[in-house]
Amino acid sequence: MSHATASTPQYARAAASTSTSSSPYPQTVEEDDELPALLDAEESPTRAVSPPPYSSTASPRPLAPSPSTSELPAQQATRSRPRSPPQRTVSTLKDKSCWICMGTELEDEPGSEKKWVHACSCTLVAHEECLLAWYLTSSTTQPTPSCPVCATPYTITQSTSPLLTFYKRSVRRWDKAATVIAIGGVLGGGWLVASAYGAYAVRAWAGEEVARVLLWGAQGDGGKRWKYWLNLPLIPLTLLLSRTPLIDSLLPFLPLTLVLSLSPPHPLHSSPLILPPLTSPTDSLSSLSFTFPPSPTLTLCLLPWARHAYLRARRAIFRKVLGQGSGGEGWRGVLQGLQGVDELADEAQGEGGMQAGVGAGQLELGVELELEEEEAGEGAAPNAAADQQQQQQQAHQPAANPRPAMPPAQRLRLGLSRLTSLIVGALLYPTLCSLSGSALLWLASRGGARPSSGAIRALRKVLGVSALLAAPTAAAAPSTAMSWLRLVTSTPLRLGGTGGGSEPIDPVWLRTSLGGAILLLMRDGLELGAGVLEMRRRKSRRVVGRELGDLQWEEGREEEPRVEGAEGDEWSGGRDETGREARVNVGAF
Amino acid sequence: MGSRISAKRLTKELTELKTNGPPTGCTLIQADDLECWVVSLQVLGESVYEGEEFALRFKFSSSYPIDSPEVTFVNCPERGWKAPVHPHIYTNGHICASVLGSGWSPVLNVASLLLTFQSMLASCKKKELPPDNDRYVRTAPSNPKQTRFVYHDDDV
Repeated sequence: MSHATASTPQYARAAASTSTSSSPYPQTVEEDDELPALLDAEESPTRAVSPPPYSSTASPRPLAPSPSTSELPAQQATRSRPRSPPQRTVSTLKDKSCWICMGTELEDEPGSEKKWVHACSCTLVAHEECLLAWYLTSSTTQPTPSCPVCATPYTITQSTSPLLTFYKRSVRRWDKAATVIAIGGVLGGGWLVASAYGAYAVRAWAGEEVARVLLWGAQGDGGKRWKYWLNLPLIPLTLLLSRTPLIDSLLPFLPLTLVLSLSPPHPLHSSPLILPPLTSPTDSLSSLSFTFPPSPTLTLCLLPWARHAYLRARRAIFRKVLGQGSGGEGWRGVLQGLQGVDELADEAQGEGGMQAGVGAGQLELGVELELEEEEAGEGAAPNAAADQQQQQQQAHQPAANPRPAMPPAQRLRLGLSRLTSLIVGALLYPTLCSLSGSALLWLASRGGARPSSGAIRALRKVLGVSALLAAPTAAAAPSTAMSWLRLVTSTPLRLGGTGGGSEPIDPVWLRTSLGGAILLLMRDGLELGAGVLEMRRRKSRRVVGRELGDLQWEEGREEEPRVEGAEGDEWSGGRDETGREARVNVGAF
Repeated sequence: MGSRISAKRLTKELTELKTNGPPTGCTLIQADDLECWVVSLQVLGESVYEGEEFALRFKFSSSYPIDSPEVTFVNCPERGWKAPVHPHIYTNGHICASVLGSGWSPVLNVASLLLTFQSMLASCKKKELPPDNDRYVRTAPSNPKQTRFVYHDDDV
């Protein structure tokens, strides 16, 4: 047990009554007390601790000492330094009065002899208990608690326990580490979920067999598949981002990482336990040569280009059918998609009286994009102002004006449910593709081993399943909705490689991709159809005229404001008595 | 231990105030218990507060004297008491003085605080409200010790 000298604030505890006779000079000793946090910073238990780094506000000087401290004997005041002879200690003083509680020695209960201390250079003496309490309190406001009269810094000693120091330091380090661990856990959890989803998406797209090889290696030994596991979490992200133009330029190159990670594994390391030692089937899987059916890797590499080409074609068709600005591309397309809710709401109101109402409960976001600059922020403007704005737009940039396909919603209302459906749709897409692919397979499998119909034969060719379906085991080989169960339970996994020659791999990825393409075509076909109908609805809009009744015009001329509203979204709505032009903004409906 | 020490010390201080009397110009108005005292205060000699009488309310917590007392000027129209107009005294009676905050130490006591505030008023040259009086009074807590004052002046 060693004692460290510390001028640091200490934990105030009612000092255990210690004998006053043994100490020649007042010394505050705290036996085995808890170490406050400040003191824990000390490295060695015997090292003196420097004052804690408080912000250096100058400690205010107290006022003059209270008159109550002047009762001390004069001899006490002459004492200068602690190193005085032992007989001149605070315990020999008569008529002591604590400068803190103002209690005198006589008032102390005889049983509990309180220890007195003189801890500074002036005449102040105090109960050790009182001084420790004051020391702690003042240490929260002053860097070095000192006597309020003579400004002598107090010196406090306390016993330190290396064990306790170590314990407290460990606790603090653990607290810090726990935060890091928690964050890491959350991130790791997200990574795991994303990986699991990625693995699921791979299986949905490429089929059970290929997925196994890709994820666990041909020999089931993991091989170099860790690179592939790094790719897995990116799959959901990629799927989500592919709905936006964010990674348009990046997308065609993403599959390359897969190709790189699929560098052929060591063929010699094949484990006879899992698979018969064939030449690695991944060779055929990752082949980039143009055979038919194409390898999964090649298909994957081609998909982004196909997407790109398709989007271009789609935009061209939409523009041709629906006019400029439709078939949105880039962010506008995404936002248009998000605005779909509004259009649906319009439809609900469409047949009855049209009202320019803003659907309640919709998240309204002012999205400022380059394209949207003019429109965004106009949201709250009254119709007339919006109207004017629109006119300017039409005048200035007729080509970029995207009006006809969508209502000129001046604010971008992002339906929250619409956003959710976008995300869910992106994540469900592999499943839907898989289902669609299965449907294709089901179509192709009709007609037995040798179908008579030429269409089915062609379909089998396209899907690359002619050999599979014609083979004797054809009935069981292609994966259907239930096939994964069979694949899990059946061992060994039969993977037809080029060397084995037993069975070709069921090219699930091919029909999945084709199925997905068909889904996309169907969706866009629906969208196009809806767009056409919407355009017709717009063109059919008429303002209902009312009976004139008793209204009188000066000229006596009667007007029936029937207006064609095909081109723009607003038109002149006739003139009222005052000659002001009334405009009706149809687009806001 | 706090309350016992506090009671002992306050009893002593009260006895002292009653036997020797508070500083000149001050009168002990109310000290029925050891929690809340009211002392009237006048500024002696020439000052901008000549002839005015103020009252200070002292509230002691159980950790007195380790902790400073809560001292405010009393606003009591019936007795004609009103917080003095002073750059460091808010109209709700709160006092911005370091002796009541970080400058407090147990060597101070009620009598020395009274002297402090007497001299603080006596040294005032011009009756002015604190610059942020309105804002502070609107949002001030009832206990000024919960306010974190920033002490600008050293000479108060």
